[in-house]
Amino acid sequence: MWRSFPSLVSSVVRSQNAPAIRFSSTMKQFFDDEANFGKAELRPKNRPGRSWTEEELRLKSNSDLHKLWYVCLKERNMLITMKKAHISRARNMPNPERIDRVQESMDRIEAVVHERNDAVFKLETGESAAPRKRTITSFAGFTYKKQAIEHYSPPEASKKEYETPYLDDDAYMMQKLWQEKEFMKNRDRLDDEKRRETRTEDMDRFKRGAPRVFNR
Amino acid sequence: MITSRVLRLPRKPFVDLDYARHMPAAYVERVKRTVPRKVFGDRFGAPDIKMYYVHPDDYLPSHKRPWEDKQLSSHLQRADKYFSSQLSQQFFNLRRPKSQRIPDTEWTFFPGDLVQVMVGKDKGRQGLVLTISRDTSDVIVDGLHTRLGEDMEGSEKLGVDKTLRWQEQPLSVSKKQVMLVDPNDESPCEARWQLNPAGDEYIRVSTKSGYEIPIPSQAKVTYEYLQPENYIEVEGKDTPADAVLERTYMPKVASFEQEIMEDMGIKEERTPKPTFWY
Repeated sequence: MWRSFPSLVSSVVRSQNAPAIRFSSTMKQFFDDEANFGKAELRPKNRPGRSWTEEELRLKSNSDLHKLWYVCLKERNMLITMKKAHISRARNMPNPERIDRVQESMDRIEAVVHERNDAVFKLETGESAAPRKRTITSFAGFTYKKQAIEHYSPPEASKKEYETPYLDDDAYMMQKLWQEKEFMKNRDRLDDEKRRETRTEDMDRFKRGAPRVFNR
Repeated sequence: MITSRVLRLPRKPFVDLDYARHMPAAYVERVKRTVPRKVFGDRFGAPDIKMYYVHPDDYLPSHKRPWEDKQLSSHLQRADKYFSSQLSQQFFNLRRPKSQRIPDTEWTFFPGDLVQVMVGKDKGRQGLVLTISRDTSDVIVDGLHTRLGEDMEGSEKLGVDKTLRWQEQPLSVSKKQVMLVDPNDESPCEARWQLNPAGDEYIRVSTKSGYEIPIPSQAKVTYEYLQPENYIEVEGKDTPADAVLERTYMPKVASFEQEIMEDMGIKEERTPKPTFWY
């Protein structure tokens, strides 16, 4: 019933690629340490630690962050491969939080790089490094921020969207009805909350309704 | 003149003490299943519609860790129930647990503390805290407030003999079912956080006698280590601690991309044409 895991993994690889390609060392980088195969939970000796924090990443030079990004990317690829291999064999992957740890580190690297770029861009050009946003009004009458897209040519007359102070009839009606609906939903929500607060444990226990109160 | 010493706020190290301190938040949310199944976004300015696996208001915290097998399977079952009721358009009553979470700065119980049980068959007995649960404000005391329960439920169906074991039951802190023990006279007391004489750190003192109740070393235990200094670094995976804290950043007026290009010897002589953002 229980087949050893290394042979499983290599059989997956062999079946996917033609037999000519051997399980080379390059391919091996996509797989976890063989000591971790078939474990319910990794031993502390083989279990990687916490993710990088932003404070730690701020100490590191840009080239270090660049290298660390690729280290994390390789690790993430390996973990996703292992997850896939485990799922295809209907097994649980040991310590699946490793994927989230790597992802967290990568997100934080991005945040730190953005922070640095933002400072330089604001100093040099006066603009933020964050993607540009424009305030536009949609056909339904909502005014909201939308990320601008880079184009080679200037906008045609009808292509560019703007914020409009006065809505047309349809949008106006839409907004009226929308606000009414939201108001009623909120009123009902508050009402429910109040009713839930007045409900005591005994009412649940003895399946009793709340006392009827007239002229509230 | 303002010196940096004045600006430095007293530390509150107790706020970070947690078994799940280094668990990624995304993973914890995922095992709780309080993540959206599908998000209907890009609705021309109207807010997104989110369909959850388990609605956040429906999540019932427990003194067990959410990633434990039993907890996880109960979350999955709840998600199935919720989804099937959504498919058949039936009313689904969200559980909306009422328990109020005690703020981090007011929480005073930690694993390893000596506490006294105030209720139940072990009323008046003192014991050590095994685990705490911040979400439910519960504490489990070693060997006290137990109930005889099945070790493995449904074992008889599998043909294994039923084994019973004394299982510790959670004791509520907010209902004052447990109290800390005053080191002065070994009687139950309440505690609060107070600045130490040096004024740089908060310590836990008994409100009754003013004696300090030191935080036990067991409070520092996390999933990764028993004590931070005893952590075993995995070779090939973990970055050594001294390498992590080494400073290599030198600020420079160049963007990240420019600096990497310079490092790798990539030269860009083309000038980009003007583009239009809209």
